[in-house]
Amino acid sequence: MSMPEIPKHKHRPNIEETIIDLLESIALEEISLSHLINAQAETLQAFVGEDLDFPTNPSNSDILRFNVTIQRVMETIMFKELFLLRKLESVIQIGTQTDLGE
Amino acid sequence: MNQPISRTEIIQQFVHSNLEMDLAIIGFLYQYTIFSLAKQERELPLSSLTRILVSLSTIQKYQNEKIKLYQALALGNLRPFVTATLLEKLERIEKQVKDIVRVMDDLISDPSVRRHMDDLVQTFYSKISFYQSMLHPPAKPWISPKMKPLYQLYQ
Repeated sequence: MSMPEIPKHKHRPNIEETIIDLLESIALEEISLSHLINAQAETLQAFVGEDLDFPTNPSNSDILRFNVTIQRVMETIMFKELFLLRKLESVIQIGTQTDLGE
Repeated sequence: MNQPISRTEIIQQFVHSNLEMDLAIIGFLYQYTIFSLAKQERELPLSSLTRILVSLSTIQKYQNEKIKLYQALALGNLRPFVTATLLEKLERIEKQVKDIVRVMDDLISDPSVRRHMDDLVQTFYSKISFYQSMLHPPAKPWISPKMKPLYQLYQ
């Protein structure tokens, strides 16, 4: 099996542009994760209600199930954050090997 | 084709995303505290609080690691800008953190759960003091008082 060949392209980015793109992708992913946490907070707010009276009348087991869902989403975000940290470390390491200019 | 963005813009994006994450975490914790109060009224167990607090404090720790990397990326005038912006926003949400801690103190009786909450709050405050020290570094380098002056060493 041979190595894949990257076809020639007019606008193929150079290494500096690639590093900047990767850094930007980390910042954008970070923003989307914060939106996800905000959405979780809003879900909680809607579920509990303004007077803490659970307006959708859920049973106790519904509340516990809802809690588990929230918990799992937060754990997923936590792992995603770790991947982003590792990605950032790798990109910075590549950046130090090349001249990351203004 | 889009113009490539500069290092300055990237740092600004990082600062923005980091702040958004801090605000989101505090906002979420606030809502989760209210949810816990409502659960308590229904006499439901608060056992899942530990896992939520562990997730949040771990996210905060990864965030702190990333800030150090952003600071390494930011050069010259950018560094004070990054620090000042982050510090200003964090100081603004400090009151909200204190409110959450007060309510959580009443809610949490288990010492192990309390430890995670303390961890989360400590990470938040260490971030503030880290930025403050970045903005106002000590005028003189710290020298151990036990260290002999140079002229004594060469006598």
